Amino acid sequence: MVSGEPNNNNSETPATDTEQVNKMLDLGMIPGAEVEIRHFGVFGKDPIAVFVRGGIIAIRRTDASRIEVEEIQG
Amino acid sequence: MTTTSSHTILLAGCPNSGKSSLFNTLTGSKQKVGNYPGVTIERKSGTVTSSNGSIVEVIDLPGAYSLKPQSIDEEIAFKVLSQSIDSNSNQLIVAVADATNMERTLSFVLELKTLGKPIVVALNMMDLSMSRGIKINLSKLSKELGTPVISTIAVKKNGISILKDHINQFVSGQPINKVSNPSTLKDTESRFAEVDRILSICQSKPSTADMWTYKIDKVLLHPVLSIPILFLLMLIMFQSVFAWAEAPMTWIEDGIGVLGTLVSTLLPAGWIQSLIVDGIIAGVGSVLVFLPQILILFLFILLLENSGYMMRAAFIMDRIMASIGLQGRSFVPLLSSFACAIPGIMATRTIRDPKERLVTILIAPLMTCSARLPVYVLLISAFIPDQTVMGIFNLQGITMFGLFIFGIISAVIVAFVMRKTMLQSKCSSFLIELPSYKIPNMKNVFFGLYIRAKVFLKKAGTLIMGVSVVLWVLATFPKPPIDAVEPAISYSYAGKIGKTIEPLVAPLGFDWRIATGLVPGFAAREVMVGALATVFAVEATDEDEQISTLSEQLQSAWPLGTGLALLVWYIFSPQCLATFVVARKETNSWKWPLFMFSYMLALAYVGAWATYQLTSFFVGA
Repeated sequence: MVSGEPNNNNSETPATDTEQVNKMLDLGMIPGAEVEIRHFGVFGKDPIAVFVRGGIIAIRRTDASRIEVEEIQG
Repeated sequence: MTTTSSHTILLAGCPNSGKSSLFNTLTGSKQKVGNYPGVTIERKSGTVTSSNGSIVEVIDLPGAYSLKPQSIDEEIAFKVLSQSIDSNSNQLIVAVADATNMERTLSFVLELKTLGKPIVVALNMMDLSMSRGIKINLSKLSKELGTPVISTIAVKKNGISILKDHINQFVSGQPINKVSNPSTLKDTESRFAEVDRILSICQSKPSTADMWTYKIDKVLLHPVLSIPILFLLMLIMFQSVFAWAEAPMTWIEDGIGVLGTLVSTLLPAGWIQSLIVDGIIAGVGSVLVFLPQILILFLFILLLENSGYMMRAAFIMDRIMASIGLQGRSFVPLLSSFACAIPGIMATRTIRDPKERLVTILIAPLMTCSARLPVYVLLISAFIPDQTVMGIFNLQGITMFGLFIFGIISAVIVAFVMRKTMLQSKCSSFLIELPSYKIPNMKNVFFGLYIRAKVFLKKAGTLIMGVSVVLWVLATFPKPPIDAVEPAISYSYAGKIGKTIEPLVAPLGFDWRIATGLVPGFAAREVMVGALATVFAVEATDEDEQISTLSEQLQSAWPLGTGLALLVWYIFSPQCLATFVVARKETNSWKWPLFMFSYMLALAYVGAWATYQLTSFFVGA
């Protein structure tokens, strides 16, 4: 589940589904990477803009919710 | 002595890494756009001349994040790099990296190294990266990567000339890379680990490096303000198209008027004078006038793309697009289609899902492209009174705006219906990178405009001139009999063709004169204005006078219903041959362009018929 306000740091663990996962990996969403949710879309706070490995990735909630994350203090 | 070399330079890099700007600097105006053999993706190439005088081809590959292709664009980049197409030469890869986002771009550089080809790394946007406090040690980076690393904006010696030194070295057969064995980092995770290792040695980056992008996004991606800002930007864009273009359009009109008068006085009256003045100058001139509007529209699109905002627009619109079965990415090609459907259709290549891409292609021509403007302006000035309503709005302006909106709403409905019926696919994903904001490189923007102007002028000089001449001939010959009672044109070939088609379009309130103009209008929409001008046999050469007289003539010749029906016809009518040719190229079959033609023709016919019948019912014919 992806939740929380911007500046919550989360750390990832592996997800599934090859094609989508490959694309996420290319964009830097690798296991163990730190992610930070920065912006939300207008309707239903969807999609979300996530800061990961020096860049910002826009991703829909349904896809993001399949990534396991754990919250990092700070 | 110059010879064509068997060496090729491939520019590869992530989207937004400034690849095209390096390509423009490297090759200057010596560029050509063609197709890759066997596939129909645009192949952008240019040349550089090496020090030994041989001409080396430079190919600007489509942007890609990795060698695992996720879209048609990436697939082409992969195929060229792995030499399964276009494979007749020694390749040197110039890996373009973005100095402001090394974490992302270096991973692709490492993947390119697995190909085992000579590589030079070109670091773009070093100035921007330095201004953000990022320090990159180029010599250490070069050592760690085992490839030469150049900065494209190096201070002491021009980075481009260093890159050219490497190209010369490559062409003369000297080795480029110190480490010859290819990288063995095959999977993404180990590559990112390697990137982290290299960057810990070569880069120091303050945590505030992308503060500017964050601050701008706080406003532009604001949960409430983002949509009003997007619509305000679009409003400014369309407003500017009309406001800024007014003066240059008057200059062009005046110039054409002077030219027409000049030719009329220089040449004796007769059919040659008529051909040049009424056929060529009036026909080509009536289209040339719209060059300023088209360029301003493209200027905005290029600025939005180069600044990084275009991807934000995709982000903002994703949820809305999702409700009609599309996604945020579809918004970008559709916005471009307001300038012209052709670059719009080509921009759909970044959409991964084939059916989503197809629907976006099919609805792109419903966006009000710049070629419709001449027709709209003519018909609105003829049939819509120039009066103020509700104190501030101009009725003609509202009508123009309404036509734009009507096009958008129809596109929404068509997309929704197609996604629900024949082009279903499971809910796709939306995953894009939002690049950091940057001030657009004006040299690149103007280069893009120059290319658009060239394409447009070429079309005016060939297609539109040809159609104008053919129409003039058809409208002039055969000459009417001496005891003619009707206007001369009704005895001509054009008149006969128009009268043959007339019964088909009569239910729409169209007479034979419109029917005559509809035929060449299929080649290009804006031809309709010149065609009607010729058909109405307006002798005036001054463009302004021609449009006003023409609109007066239309007003007296047709009832309101006919005028409105023709406007509605133009929202939908399947037009501009070039659009269908591009759709054919992009979908690789005639099936979809034919479908696009049929559904648009059906909408145009039904829409125009309903408009004419309703108007006649309420206002009277």
